[in-house]
Parts: sequence; C-alpha cells; structure tokens
Amino acid sequence: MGGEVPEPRKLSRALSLGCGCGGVPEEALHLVFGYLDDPRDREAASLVCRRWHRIDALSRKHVTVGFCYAVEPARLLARFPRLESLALKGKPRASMYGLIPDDWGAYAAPWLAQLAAPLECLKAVHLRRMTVTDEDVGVLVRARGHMLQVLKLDKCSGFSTDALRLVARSCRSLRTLFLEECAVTDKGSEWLHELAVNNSVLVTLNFYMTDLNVEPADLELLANNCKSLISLKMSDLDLSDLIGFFQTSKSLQEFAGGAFSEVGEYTKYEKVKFPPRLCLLGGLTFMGKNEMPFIFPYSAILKKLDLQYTFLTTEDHCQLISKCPNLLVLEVRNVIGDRGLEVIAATCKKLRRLRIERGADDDSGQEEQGEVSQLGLTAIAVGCRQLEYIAAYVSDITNGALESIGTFCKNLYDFRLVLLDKQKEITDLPLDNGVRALLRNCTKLRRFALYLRPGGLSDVGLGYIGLYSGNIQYMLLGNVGESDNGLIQFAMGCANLRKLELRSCCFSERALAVAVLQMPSLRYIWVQGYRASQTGQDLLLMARPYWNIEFVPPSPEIANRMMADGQPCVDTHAQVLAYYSLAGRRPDCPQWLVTLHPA
Amino acid sequence: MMGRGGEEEQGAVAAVAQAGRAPARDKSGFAATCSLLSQYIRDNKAGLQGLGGLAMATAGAFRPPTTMNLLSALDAPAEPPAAAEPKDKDHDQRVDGNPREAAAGDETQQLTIFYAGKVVVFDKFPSTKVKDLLQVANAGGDGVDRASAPAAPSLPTPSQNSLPDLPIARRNSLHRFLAKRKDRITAKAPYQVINNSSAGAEASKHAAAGAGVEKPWLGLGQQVTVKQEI
Repeated sequence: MGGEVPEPRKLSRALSLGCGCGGVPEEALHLVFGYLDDPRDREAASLVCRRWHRIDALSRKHVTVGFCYAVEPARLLARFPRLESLALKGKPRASMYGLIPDDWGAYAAPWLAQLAAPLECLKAVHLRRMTVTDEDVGVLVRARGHMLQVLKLDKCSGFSTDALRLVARSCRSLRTLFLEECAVTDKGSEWLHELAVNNSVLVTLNFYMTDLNVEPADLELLANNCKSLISLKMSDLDLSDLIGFFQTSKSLQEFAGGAFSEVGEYTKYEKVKFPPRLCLLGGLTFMGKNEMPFIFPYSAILKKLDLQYTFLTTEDHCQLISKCPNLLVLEVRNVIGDRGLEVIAATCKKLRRLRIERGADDDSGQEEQGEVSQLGLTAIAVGCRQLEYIAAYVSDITNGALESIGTFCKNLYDFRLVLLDKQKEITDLPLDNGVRALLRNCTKLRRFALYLRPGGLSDVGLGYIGLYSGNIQYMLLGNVGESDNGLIQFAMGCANLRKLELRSCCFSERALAVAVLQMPSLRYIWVQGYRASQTGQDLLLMARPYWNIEFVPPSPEIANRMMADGQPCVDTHAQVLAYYSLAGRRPDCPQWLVTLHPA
Repeated sequence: MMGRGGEEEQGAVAAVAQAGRAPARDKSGFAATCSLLSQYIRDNKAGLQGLGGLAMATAGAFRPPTTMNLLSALDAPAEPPAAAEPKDKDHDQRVDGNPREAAAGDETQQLTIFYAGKVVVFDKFPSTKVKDLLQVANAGGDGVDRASAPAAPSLPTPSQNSLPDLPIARRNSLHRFLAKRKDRITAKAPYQVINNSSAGAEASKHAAAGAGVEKPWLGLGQQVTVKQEI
C-alpha cells in the first residue's frame, strides 16, 4: 500500500565478490557507474566495498551538499577529485521568508577557497542562500574562471556588481549566469555591457527579482552576440524598452521580468512583440487588464506562466488562462479565486506545477478579494491529473478536498498547503482524515508541507502523517498537533524523513529532542516557535556524536510566562537548528546564537 | 500624459470603492461613527508605520519576529489609537477605505474633514451618520477618544491553549512586490501632496538599496502633483 515505508536502499556486500583479480574488470565497473545518477543509488553503491567506494569517488560528477556546515570543504573535495558540478545550500529556508538575520552565516569563502587547484574538472558552481563577497567571487574566477560554464548565485547576498564585471570579463565559456533574488550592491550596469562584449555562448541569464538596473542597449548587444540565448529573466525594466531586445533574440524561449510601469498607457506597449519560440513567461510586473491582450497571440503555445506580480483580477485570470491550454507550470496569487481555479481545471489538462501564492491580507482594499478554498482545489484535483506539484495558500479547506487530491493526483511529488489565518470559521477541521487519504494515495510524494492553525490537525492526524509518509524526505509542519504525544507518534513513523521544519507548534523542548531520536534518517531539523526553556537544556537529550545543536534563546519578555499546566509558553523567538555534521561545531556563529553540546 | 489622467483617476476611485467593501458590523450609529474616526486615525498611523517598516525591510532582509508581518499594523489595532496626537507629518492624507456602513440603503455623499492639518475624504458617507458625527464633534475631542477605545475590536485569540501563534511568514519576493504595489497605489490616489512620507520613504529606500536611478513608478507621483494643482 502506498505511503508506507519502502525497502531501504541498500546493496549487499556480496556484490563485490568476484570483483577481484579474475572478476569484473575495473573498466567495466567504471562504465556501469557512469549510468548511476541518483545520489542515493550512488550512496548505496559506494558502501559496498572499498573498491566500489573508490570507483564511485572517481566517477562522481555532481554533488549537492544540502547544508554547507555538514561537511568540511577539503574533505568533500578530496573524496571527489573529478567533480564537475557542485551545489551548496546555506541558510535555512526560513531566510526566504525574512525570518533569519543577515549575519546568520553560511559564508561561501571557505568553500570557494578550496575550489582552486585540485579540482581540474569543475565547471559548474551553484550556491544557494549563502553569503558571498566580491573577494570570494574573485578567488573562484581566478581558480576556475577559464573553465566555468555555470555560475549560480541563488538568493545570495554580500557581493556587488564589481564581482559580476569580473565574471563577465574572465569567464568566457559561461553558459549560465544566475543571480535570482540576490541582494547585489549596484555600482552600475557595466557588468552587463562587459558580458555582452566578452561572451558569445551564453544560454541563460537570470537577474530576476534583483534591483539591478541595466541598459536596454546592452541587452540588445547581448542578444546580438549570444545567438544561443534561450532564457532571460531580469529585473523590472520597462517593457517598452525591450522592443529591440525581443526583435534581436530569435532563439529566446523563456522570458521573465520587465514591468508595465505605466499602466493604462497600453499604446506604449503595442510594439512589444515576443520572439517566436517564447513559451515560458513570467514577471510582467504590474500587468493589468489593459495590457493583458498583449499575451493573447502567444497564449496557445505557453508552457509556463507566472502571474504572481501582476495586477490582474479574478476575471482577468479567467479570461487569460482560458486561452492557455498547454500550460505545464502556472504561478499565481490567490486573487485567482476558486473561479479561476475552475478555469484552470477545465483548460490546463497538462498542468504539472501549480503555485497559488498569498496576496495582500490587509483591509486597504487594493486587491479584489480572491480566495481559494476546497472548491477550487477539488476542481483542480479532478481536472488536472498530471499535477506533480501543488503549493497553495487557502482561505478555507475540507477533508474532502484533500481526499480528492489523493484520489486523482497520482503523480504528486510535492504538496504544500497553508491555511491562511484571516477567515475565522473553517468548514471542516481537523483535517486528520483528509491528510491520511492524501498521504496514502499519493505514493510518489517526496515533499510535504502543511501549515494550519491550532485545531487544524489533531494528535491522531499527526500520527497519520508519521504512519503514511514513508517516502517523504522533506517536511514542513506549522500549527499542527495538540500535545507532545502527537509529536512522538509522528516521529515513530517518518522512516525516510531527512529534513524537517516545524513552526509555531505547542511541543515542549523535551518532546522535540525525544522525537528527533526516533527518526532514523533525519539529518536536519529547524524549529521556530515552541515551548522553549531559557537555556535549551532539554535539547541536550538529543546530543550525540556528529549532531550539532544551535539554539536561539526565547525572548526575555516571555521568559517567565507559563501556561496553566506549568509549561513555558510557545515562544516566537526561540529557534533550534540541529544537523549532522562531519565538520564539528561551526566557527562562525553569530553572538545571538548558542551552540549546545554536552559538558 | 495628461490625457490619461482621467483614466488613472478612475482607477484610483475604483480602488477606493473596493476598499469600502469591508465587512459590515452591527453597531449603534454612535459607535459606528466613532469607529470611523478611530479607523481613520489608525489607518493613518498604520500607513506611516508601514512605510517605516518598508525602509527597514530594505536595509536587510531580516524582519525581526516582533514586526515580522509588516502588515500586522493594519490588521491588529491592539494599541488604542492616539487620537488627539496629530502626527508631525504636515501633509494631507487620503483615507482609502472606511465606509463600512456604506452598504446601507440611505443617501450617501462625499464627506470631507479638515483636522489637525489633514484632509480626510470619505466617499459615500451616509447622511444619517452626519448628525452623529456632528454630535461627537460637539462633545469635544476627549469624548471621541474615550468612546472609540472600547469600539476597537479586540484580537481574537486562538482558542487552543491560547498559544501565541506566529504570523504566517511571506516570501521575500512577494513581500517586496506587495510593498511596491502599495506605494504605487498610494502614489496614484488623489488628494495627496507629492512631498509626503510615502515618496520620502520610497526615495530613501532606493538610496538604501543603492539603486541610484529612480524607479519608473516614482514618476507617478509627479502626475499627482499636477492633479493637485487642478
């Protein structure tokens, strides 16, 4: 049955027998390893015997380090000397929501310093949510610049356009430059000019969601020089300034960014014409009803559409989406409403990914009230059966809607649901049975997020998540459960859970620690908002070798407030991050953070 | 440019009309009027706070938990409105929404109040409420204060264990967009002087971000000045 614990991925030692002198020749093993891509298959193979371990180490081309403090750079790079591509993740995901201070850490310097001499094959570097300085980029460029084909600085901060100029001048083989949502100090647009002048092989350029100002002429020059440019995602330049660029870049398939900075002036945008192959579209900041027809000629070929940053109303969404039958990816705000979701369900039969973000929730009336509920989600479940990813902020929800998703969306890989807190009465809580049905039926689910409100999921429901989430590797839970007992029941399942985030839950510190010890695959847990002690002493229950515990103490104001049962209150400041690390305690903790370790 | 002015104003009016669609509450006429006044003060105050928050948000991505949801200032009137304290900002302030009672069948007119150097305009103010308002005004400012304090709705506390649950966090990218949108809409609203805190915050925000060049939506403020002169 679905959702239950799968067989552990483990290879027998017996496989190595016969591999000796007269066995399978080394070359053959190398060839076979060449077909192993899944990192978990690689992991299993590398544990068979020393020989397999060595062959894996020499043939591994890509490594993702899920958390930059989990291992020392030198150790990792010494093991995989022929690495071609390295991805590193830094700050907790919560930093994407403004919940992590800038000085938290995740400095790229120790890593980039190691990427120099020994790694002769390295040509792709991807840093996510890390602090990167101009000097760091300089070190990387000097060591690997001539080889570098992919540089992704993804939601990073700490560098300036000087670093980009250096990259533009030195990395002539660069195919991908990715800077999405980086906080870059803007010292002028020369970097783009240099990139356009020096590079002729660029395929992807992304500075979406940055504040970087660029010159339209440089974009045009880039399009002229890089005939292979397929994807441009950029900051909010006015779309009327991009007419020349669009005319020039004939191969462009993806565009995101740009803005209709003068809404109502649609005559100004009449001449904007997308390149013929464009099928992935987003940004278009401030696009309103008047500008929307500008998309119509392309709507039938669109595969991806991101309307999160537009001014469209529910009605506009309905009109536009009804013309987009080939969408695979759609991102919107909840202004789309249940009516909009019904149009999606009727139109977009191939849809794979759907994200429904949260709009403004103040009463200033800037936005048409569009709310998404069980009605819309049910329609989606019935209508879009190819969905692999659903993330939705809903205003109301029922068990039935979750059951529908379980019944129809068999390909679901990633499901995230946040119940907004504005509406007082929710039709059908707790969601225990709906969650159970969804988890049992969506057997391909690997990532799961559920953020409700007190009363949204009982301890029984939390137990169901543990029981039926056997394949799930990442989970975020907020405002779920009623007591410590629920958390423990949950933790008894979760056989493959590697990363867990909890927020705003009523659990005690002791229960958290005990729960962590129950989850065999857990390697990373982040918690904000729980019943914290002043010193975090109960967290030491989970202390063990290689397990780092970092604690942000509760706020002093709330320190002495107790619940009726004598437990401390849930404290919104208290934060815990605990993770496995081969590197020991990290040396760069900010002062407000306490590392806990047994005396 | 000027020719389009009418259209933009219409858009702004539509936005204001939408703002009026707040849920109606059952209240006595007197209480309702008081809450209208207190809401104006609250909105005004919240608007200023919100802008302060924006400037802070661009200084660094981190928003400390206590002010994590920058919009909470608008939602949670936890602190009693300081009615008698005019803000030191000497500008007119357009109040976007208020007319909770506007849905009632009685005749409505536009109401304009000059108070402490500010101009407040209510679209569709019910004529029956005007009497109440005058009564309140005659009673003196102190009366308003005291009467309005109890009218402020108290925050619903989560029933279960009365746990103080955290505000649902918002993605940085969306947070920035909503802030930009808010600036844009504020800038487009009529009855506003260009050199107000909104534009100031916008300017300082760009300075903080090191952007150097003006964003296009700043330009809208200038159109507003022209309108002001008309």
